Amino acid sequence: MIDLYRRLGASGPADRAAIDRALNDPATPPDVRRIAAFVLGDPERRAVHDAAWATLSVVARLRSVMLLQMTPMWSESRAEEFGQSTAEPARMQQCLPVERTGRH
Amino acid sequence: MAPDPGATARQAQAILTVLTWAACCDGPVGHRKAAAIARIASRSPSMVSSLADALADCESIDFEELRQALELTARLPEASRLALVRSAATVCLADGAAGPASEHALRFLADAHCPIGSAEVTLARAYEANGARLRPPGDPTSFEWWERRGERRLGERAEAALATARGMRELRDLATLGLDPGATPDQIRTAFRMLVRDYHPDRFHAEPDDVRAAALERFRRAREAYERLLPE
Repeated sequence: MIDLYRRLGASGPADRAAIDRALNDPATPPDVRRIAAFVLGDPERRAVHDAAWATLSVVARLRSVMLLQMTPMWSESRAEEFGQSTAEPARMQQCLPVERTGRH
Repeated sequence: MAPDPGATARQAQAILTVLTWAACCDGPVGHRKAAAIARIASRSPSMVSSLADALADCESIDFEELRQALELTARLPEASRLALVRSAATVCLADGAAGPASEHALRFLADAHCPIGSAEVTLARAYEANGARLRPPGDPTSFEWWERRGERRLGERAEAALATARGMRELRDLATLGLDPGATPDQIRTAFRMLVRDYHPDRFHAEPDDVRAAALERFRRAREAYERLLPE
């Protein structure tokens, strides 16, 4: 799972201004915009996404504190972005894997 | 040495904090998850006394509170730690399936509480014990995951509709035999025998055509209902 808010340059679900700006900004990678509009534009999808996002944000911090970042199950979760520094969002906007979003 | 009641209470509170956090990861805790937590808490008087507050506050558990609870639970004896992982899975799967948030929470709890190298096996067994299978967590930032979820939900709705239709048909069949919902197989057999005795076509051979036809129809419906309710 990618950190969608980070890729939009937003601090989290409450940062509506940054989210709206990124969704309307032609500089936001099209793949990011498409999946963000699809997920965040629908209340039910957004609720599921935000619950996972909030949990992963906490889990990533806890794993860091408890030195549990090298386990097979964490690797399998494909959620490494959540454990990265908050200084990364601009760079990460560029690297959304196309194969995971390229069908719509 | 007698156990320290204060330490026991703190451990119970920590377990409850971890369980309620896992329970509310996917959203508000419904009655099935709450009931699952209550069943687990009923094993410990310390947990029972804190249960109502824990359930009311579960959505406001902050990072530091959870971290402190995990510090305690991670130091429990191995059997208790494994029991905590199993309990968390039972709670998260109480609605039938865990959402992506719960799936990540359960993986983390297994890594935090199981001996090195055994987390995945322990969690997989906990899933199996709850009639589920451990799979990679769902990804709500993937179009494919949403498509699969939509298909799964359609399938579940179709199954639910089928189950409702079957339930309705069973109620109708029972009513045909003059029985209430929940009748036992013995009651069904007895009711059918009585209807056979009362409406068997042999009893009506001397009756007018319309009476004979009505009796035959009643007999036919009773036999069909009986065969559906108690197939050979």
